[in-house]
Amino acid sequence: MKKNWTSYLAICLVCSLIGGCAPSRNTRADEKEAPSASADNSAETVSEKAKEDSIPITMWFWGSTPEQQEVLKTSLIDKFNRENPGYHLEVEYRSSVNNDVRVAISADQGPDILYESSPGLAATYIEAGKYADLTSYAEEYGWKDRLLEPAYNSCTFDGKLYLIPMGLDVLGMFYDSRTLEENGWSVPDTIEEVESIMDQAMEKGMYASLNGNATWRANNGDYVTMFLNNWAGPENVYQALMNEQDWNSEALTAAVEKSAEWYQKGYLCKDYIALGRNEALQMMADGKAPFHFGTSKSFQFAVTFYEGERGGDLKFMALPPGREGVSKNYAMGCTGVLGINEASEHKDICAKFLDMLMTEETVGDLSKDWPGYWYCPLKTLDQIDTSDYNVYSKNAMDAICEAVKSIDSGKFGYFASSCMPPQTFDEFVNIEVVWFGDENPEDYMKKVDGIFEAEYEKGMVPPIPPIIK
Amino acid sequence: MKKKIPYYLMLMPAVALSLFIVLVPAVNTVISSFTDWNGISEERTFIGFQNYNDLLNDSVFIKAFFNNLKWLGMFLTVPVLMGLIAAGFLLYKRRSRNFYQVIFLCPYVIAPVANSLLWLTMIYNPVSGIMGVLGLQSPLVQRETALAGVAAVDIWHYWGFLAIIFFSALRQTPMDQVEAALVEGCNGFQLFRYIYFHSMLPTFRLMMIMIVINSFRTFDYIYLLTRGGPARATETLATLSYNLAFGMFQYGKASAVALIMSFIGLAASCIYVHFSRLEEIE
Repeated sequence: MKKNWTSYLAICLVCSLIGGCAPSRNTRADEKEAPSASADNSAETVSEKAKEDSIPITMWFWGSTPEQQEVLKTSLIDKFNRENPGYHLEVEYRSSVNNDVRVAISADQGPDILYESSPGLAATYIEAGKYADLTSYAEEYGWKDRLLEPAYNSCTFDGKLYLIPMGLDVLGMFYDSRTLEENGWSVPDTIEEVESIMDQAMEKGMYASLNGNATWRANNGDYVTMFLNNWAGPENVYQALMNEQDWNSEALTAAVEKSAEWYQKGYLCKDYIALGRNEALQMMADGKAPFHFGTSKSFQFAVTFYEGERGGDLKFMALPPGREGVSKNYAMGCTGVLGINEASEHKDICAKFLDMLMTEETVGDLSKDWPGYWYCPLKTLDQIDTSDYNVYSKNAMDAICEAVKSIDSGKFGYFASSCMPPQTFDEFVNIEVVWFGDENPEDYMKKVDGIFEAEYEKGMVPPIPPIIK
Repeated sequence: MKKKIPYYLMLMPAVALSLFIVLVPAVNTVISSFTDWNGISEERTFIGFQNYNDLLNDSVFIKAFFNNLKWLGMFLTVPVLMGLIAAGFLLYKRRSRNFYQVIFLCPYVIAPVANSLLWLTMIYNPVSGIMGVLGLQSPLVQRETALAGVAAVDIWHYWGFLAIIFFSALRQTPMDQVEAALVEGCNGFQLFRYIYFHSMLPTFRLMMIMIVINSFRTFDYIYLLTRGGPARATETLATLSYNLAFGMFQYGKASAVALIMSFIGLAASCIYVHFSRLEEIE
């Protein structure tokens, strides 16, 4: 009897083990999804009955907050489902989305719509043939005419379009107008004025600026972007990216040296390495610093700290140029990019989804309740009706429209995370070795040049939008 | 033979799982370490020992290796001493030892993510943390102290477990030996050195080997607290391997790092087996 029970138990264990090994969900788009326990994690867009009768279009997205997920559901998912009977969009929120997508598409699996953080990171997948060519859809829907030229070009590889920029992310300077006013400072026009305000802030016991990389070390890449574009200038960065100039040229090395000077003076936040970005933004809302040097994406993080009457106090502008001869510019990147999985059997409907994303209506709806993220770089971004926006969302949209004007006139810089190949970018993320004095800027940039050269020869440099003269 | 068939069948799932989940990826890793594979494309070019050669000439790899050695040094001393002292203390606390064991084990049962958040927000945070309130700078900010800062969190999480293991081993000491030693006039240290420690030596040796293996695999707390920074001060072989594979698309080189880590673990295991055999012979 005891033996029988043992055998029965063993069989049960084996069955449960095998059952546990089976895939919990089908990732192929053409297979209908069985209701599963993971439904909590997926945005429910249509009734269960309608879901069973329609084909799922899948997309994996980063782990947004419940509030952000609700905005996505109302302004994107439900809209897509209404306009495309027979299909329903399923969005899964995953905190490790980049790695998950990588593993899945390596095995020709994964969602229909692919999310990636930047064109630079998607380049390897595109080269491996994991992304579908979107050029014919671009022609059919007229995407090229709708998007800003540099943004469109940054998503093309060998003349073919593979990605769509979800939102424009530009680098600049946030300032808290109330903190400036309370301390008798005016909005700075020159870099000397910025430095002067930071000096005064530190004398008062405040932070010169607030930011942090404790939760996101790649934040260092934003600072590198800032110094390269504002001190060396976009022309020098462009030439280096095209391998027409060495990275250890005088102008670029001087920019890195300047970043070390700012770090050592405390201008880049004396607790930069110990703070997280959200924490830094909260402290800025508490009046502990006049500035935050970062990307417009910070609007989506700061929204929690600038509620109600404080909503109008957070402003964003281009950082004044660091030296003569460099024009005021916004380094241009993407909050994220979307593409279509080459393995998907529903490319046409996925293209319709991407097209929907590139309309004033969708951008308007999303940006109203989720400021800072969904500014698809449309040429007509400034025509979006913002009359029903709150003051915070309106400020964010106005700032982006200002950046769009600048970019459209050719005054834009190059984002490290978007334009640099992976190892070069990683080396720039480790710029702390210069800030701490472990390496001098000359040796460091010489090393960067060697790394870039090797990656350039392997064809790993993502598409670089040319400067518009 | 017929009687044994059910037992072989019961072994099959475990063997199959080991083959497909451990052996196949392991062989794939070995092969990849000799290629320039980026982890995505189907093409992979055989490049011989170039990955290993590059690593040996790479200052970041050397730094990561030495950081692992420093980590090992800290873990072979601090938590071991704490564990031994606590285990000795528990021996004499007959009534309250269960309570103390639960307390000591608490950090060990908490997930690394929670432990890290706890330390980041309540201790190391420059604004709301204890160090910030006391006007001290977080050790994670300075490259001289960052590794020790991360190790402190992991040691806090690990030492209680060691204490319980050591305590369990100490309890196995035959009481007649203890009593005889006391009759002979042994003092406390002599009693520990010649009776208790001798009795727990196999367990102690096993834990030392486990610490060596784990020190070269350490990843979670470093990734959660510093991600290898600042200025690569906390870069270890595991974080370097992860970064090479998932950040820089250098899967071949990442495999080479992983393989070097495995060889170190294997060497430690061989030493342990060697000592165990010697013990059996004795």
